Parts: sequence; C-alpha cells; structure tokens
Amino acid sequence: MPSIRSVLIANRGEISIRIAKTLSRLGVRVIGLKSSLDVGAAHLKHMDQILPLEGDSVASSWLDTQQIVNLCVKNKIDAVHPGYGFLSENEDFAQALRNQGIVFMGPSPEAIARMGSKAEAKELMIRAGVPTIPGYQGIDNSDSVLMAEAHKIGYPLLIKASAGGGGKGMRIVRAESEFAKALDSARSEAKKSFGDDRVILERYITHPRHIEFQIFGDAHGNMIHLGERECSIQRRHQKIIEETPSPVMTPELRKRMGEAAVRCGQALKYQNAGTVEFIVDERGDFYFLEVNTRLQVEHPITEMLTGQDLVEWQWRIAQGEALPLTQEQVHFRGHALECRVYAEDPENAFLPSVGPLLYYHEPAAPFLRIDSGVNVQSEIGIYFDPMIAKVIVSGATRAEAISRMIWALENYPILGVKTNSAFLLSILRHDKFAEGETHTHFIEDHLSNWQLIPQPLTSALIEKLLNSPETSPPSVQQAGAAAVPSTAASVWPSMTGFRIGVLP
Amino acid sequence: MKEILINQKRVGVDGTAAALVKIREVTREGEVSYEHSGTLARAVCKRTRDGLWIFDRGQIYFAQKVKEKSSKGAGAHHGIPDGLTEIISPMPGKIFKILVSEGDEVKRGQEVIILEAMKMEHALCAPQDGKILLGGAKEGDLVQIGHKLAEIG
Repeated sequence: MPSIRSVLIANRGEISIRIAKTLSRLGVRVIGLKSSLDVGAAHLKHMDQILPLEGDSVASSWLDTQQIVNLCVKNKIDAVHPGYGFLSENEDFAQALRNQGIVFMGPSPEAIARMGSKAEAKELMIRAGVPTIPGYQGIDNSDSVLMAEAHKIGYPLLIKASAGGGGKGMRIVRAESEFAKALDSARSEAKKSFGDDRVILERYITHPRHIEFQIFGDAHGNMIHLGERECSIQRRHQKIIEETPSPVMTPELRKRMGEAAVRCGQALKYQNAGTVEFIVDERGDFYFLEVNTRLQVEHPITEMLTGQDLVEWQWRIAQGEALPLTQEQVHFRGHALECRVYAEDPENAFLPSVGPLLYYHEPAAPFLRIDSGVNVQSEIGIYFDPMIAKVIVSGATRAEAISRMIWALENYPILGVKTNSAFLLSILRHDKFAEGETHTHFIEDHLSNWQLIPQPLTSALIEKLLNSPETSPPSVQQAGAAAVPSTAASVWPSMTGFRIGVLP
Repeated sequence: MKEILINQKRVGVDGTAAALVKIREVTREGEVSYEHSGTLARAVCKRTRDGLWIFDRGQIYFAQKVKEKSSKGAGAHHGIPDGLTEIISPMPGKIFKILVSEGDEVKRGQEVIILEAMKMEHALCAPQDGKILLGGAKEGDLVQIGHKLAEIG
C-alpha cells in the first residue's frame, strides 16, 4: 500500500487551489507548477514548493507529459493529481507515471483509454445492461426494416441522413402514422444534399436533462455512487449551472440510475473518482451518454450534499484504502447549487473579457463556498480558460438554495473585466428555473434574446458616480489614494470590424 | 435629458429616476453606499483613464461621458465609427499575420491584420480607405491591449 506524502498538482487555477487545500489539511506536501505563462498566478502561493515548467505555450508546458513525469522522478514525488482538463484523461500520462512507480490519483490507464472511445464505451454499457439511446444504424435501409426498427425504438423519433448533418435530411416523427411520409421526405432531401438517401433512426428526446452520477471504486472491489448532479443549464454545450438533487429525481429513479452507474463502474473495474453521464427524457427514461474518468468541475455540489471531501477520498483510495463509506452509509441532505462565474462579455457574444482585476471581493456566509482561481491582484489573460470562480451554495430546499445563490452573486463585486454574473442571475430568476423545468435547451428557449440593460435607477446611479468628484482620478482626490491601473476597455470602441474565428 | 455611454451605448438618464437615487458615501476604495427610493444599497466603482467601472448587484457596467463628435456618413457599415484612422489591438495577443504591406492602398472594411488570442484568430479591418502605415509590430510579436498596430494616412 503506497503511502502518499507528497503530491504534484499538474494543474492550475481554481482546481489546483482546491486540491491543495485538502491535501495540505491531510499533512501532504503539495508541489505546484509554474510556466512562463503563470507569472503572478493565484495558485502559486497555495503550494509548499513550485517547480518550473519549460516551454512558452500551454502545449509545450502544461501538456508536456515527459517533462512533468521527469520532474516527479527527479524530485522523488509520490503521486500526481491531474485535476480536470489538461492531462487528466491522458492514458499515456497515467501509464508513464505508473511505469515510474508514481501514483496517478485517478483510475487506471486502461479505464481511461476504454472510455476515451465513445463507440467502445457504448458497447461496454450495452453489455453491462445499461440503457443507451435507442436507435438503428444498420445498412439495411429498406422500407420494411426501417418501419420495424422505428416501431422498436418508439416515438417521437428522429430520422437522420447517414451521409451528412446540418439538419438536412432530418425529420422529427411524432407518431407511427407519420413515419412513411417523413421517411420519403427525409430521403429526398438527403439525396439532394449529399447524393445519398440512406438514413439512421434515433429516439428523439424533446427536453433532455443532463444528469450524471458520481461513482467511486477502490482496489478491494467496492463501488458506490454518491448521488446525481443535474447539469442541464448549458450555453453552447458548456455547463454553467449545476444542482443536486435533480428536480425530477425520485428515490426510485435514483436507485435505478445509481445502480446502472455502479454497473458501469464495475464493468470497467473502475478505481477512484469517476462520473457516469446520462440523458433523461420527459418520461423519466434514462440513457447512457459517457463516462468521465476524472474529478469533475462541479464535484463541490456533491460534497455539499453528502458532507464528504472527494479529494480526500481520492487520496485514500490512491493509497489502497477501502472506500470510507458503504452505499447505505451515504446520506443526502438539503439542496446544493453551483454557478460558474466566467470573465466573459455577455454583450460581445460571451467572448473572454481580459484585463487586470480592479476590484475583487468574495462574500462569506455559512452556506456559501467559493472555489476561486483568482485573487485581487490577478489579471485575466489569453492563454487559459477565463473561469473566475465557482460559487456554490447549499440550502434546506431548492428555493432556499436559489435565493441564497442570487444573494451571493449580487454581493460578489468584481471589476476590471466583464462577467456572466448578470446572465446567471437572469436564469436563476426565471419562472421556469424556479419550477425546475430545466433541460439542455433552456438557454436557447428562454434567454436567446437576453441583453444586459440597465434599469433607470441604475443608469441614474451610474451617471451620478461618473460625474461625481469623489470618483475622480486619484490625482484629483486626497493624497494617499491608491493609484488605479488605466488600461481597461477603451479600445473596444475602436475595434474596427473585429471578427472571430477567421481561418488563415 | 442627460446622456452617458454605458457599455458603449448611449443611455438617457431619466430625471425622475435621478431624483430617487442619493449617494451617501464613496470610500477611497470605490465602495459606494447609496439609497434608491429610501432603500439602502451598495455598489462598487473604479475609475480608469477612459471611464468608470461599476458593479451594482451582480451587474457590471463601464461608463463614459458622451464626447460630442459629428458622425456623418455611413458609420453603420462594418460597425466602424466615422473619423477613425487607427487600428488598435482590442486584447492582448500575438500578431498572427499581416495581410498587407507598408504603404498599400486599402479599403474601409478590408482585413489587414490577424491577431491570435484566446486560441482564436481575430481579423482586424481598415477603418477607412487610404494608405496603410504599419506600426512596426511584426508577425509573431506579442502585443498588449491598446497597442496601436496601424494607421490609415
């Protein structure tokens, strides 16, 4: 049983700080990394030791497997925690560490590799008796076969052109009586668009909910789940609000989904932390989506709900200990919600907003936790993900958690960059959110025309502050006033014909 | 009606609303306590060279005074304000490609420099017709926000 007394955290930003806090509490020495892109980075002062990373790009520094493995060997480090993103799901990295006798605080390289392929993952789940989205992708495209398969899949279903996408050759069929006509129409459009009229069939889920289960396995054959997280509020497929329990969860559904998630883990002989993602339809039927072989961004809501520290669990399991709790000992209390605050400009297509933070202050309350990747001296730059912080609240009920989250975001002043806080608040205040009508098209359906518009009282306040001598530049104020950095947003008005995503 | 710029848009300030807002105190750090219709509230503001940042109950604004400038002509084309002659870097990044040569005749809206930032390419365009005078930065150079990249003469 390896004893882990030192850990290299191969990550930065909020997750590296969060991991360091737990490991330090456990008496483990934490070693961090610093590349040339990390001057002044907030994670550095949370580490016991910093090792330099060579390379002037993210790829040549943070993603350089060999360099990081060599640093661990040279410095006789017991284990590596990869965080999320970066090398966390890189099986070569996990294998290279294993070859050197260094513990990778995650699953085996084999489990990572197997779940890296969507096709293989689906295959494995079908064999494990876990439901996958019903569909037909067979070569036989005859009318009779398609009709029979459609009948098996059930309605509503989607007819999709196998040769291409973009909505061409796609038809939603809501009842068996409409199938034949929709098939003809889909085929003719597919033929015109791609020269190929072959189709595939798939169950159509109108308001899919993204519900995932946290699983944990150990080296002794134990596997449990720690409940679900609903992550349906997504903007362009990026999660921005997560909660637990899911508004549609019942004890019976949790039992069935939890057991399916555990079966997934067992089929993989999975060790350490993992997440099994499902899509749930309006009828409460659930289908496997994928397995994430890492600790997820939104893990704090599970920690709030269960009272467990998942990074501590990861450390214990990596040392060969058995899971700290049995399934029966896991209890869920209250409701937990997380909002991801990003440095994004909601008025500029949510593009990253860069610049130094001119003001930064975190609110505090017994029900509030903020996992932040910045501090008051930070500068949001161009090289890394612009996440400022995860704001997590708990409440006795969902309504209480929502109102506490609204309070937290309203009292979390950040200046110098634009953030998505106002956008998050609009979601939290929406009737449909309050009713728990959350699904992955929520933002598209309800907030596609959202704009940040100041109310008359706010505009009046702004005008007064703008013209007030008390907010004038430091040279006009009393002596001793702190100098204020002056780079800010003046260039935006002169952005001439700025366009994104132009390929060379 | 007073007008200011909030997030680059002209906003009129309503007199009735203005009468309901009273600033009680502004600290040296920019912490504001104010009253609106008798209710106490808090905000934070920070002055920079070009304007004032304000945080008010989860909303972030950047405010500026309206500078009177005559804006004749088709300013709507390409969203480029009239009278602009400079190309300034809108964010820190790396000059990926310079599409023109010093002294070339360019047309308003023509792409002249590609800036690489945030793992994306951003095309910067000539604000006016004219001869382009490059600022001296070369392909591969890292530039700060606000760096003057070129000018139309």
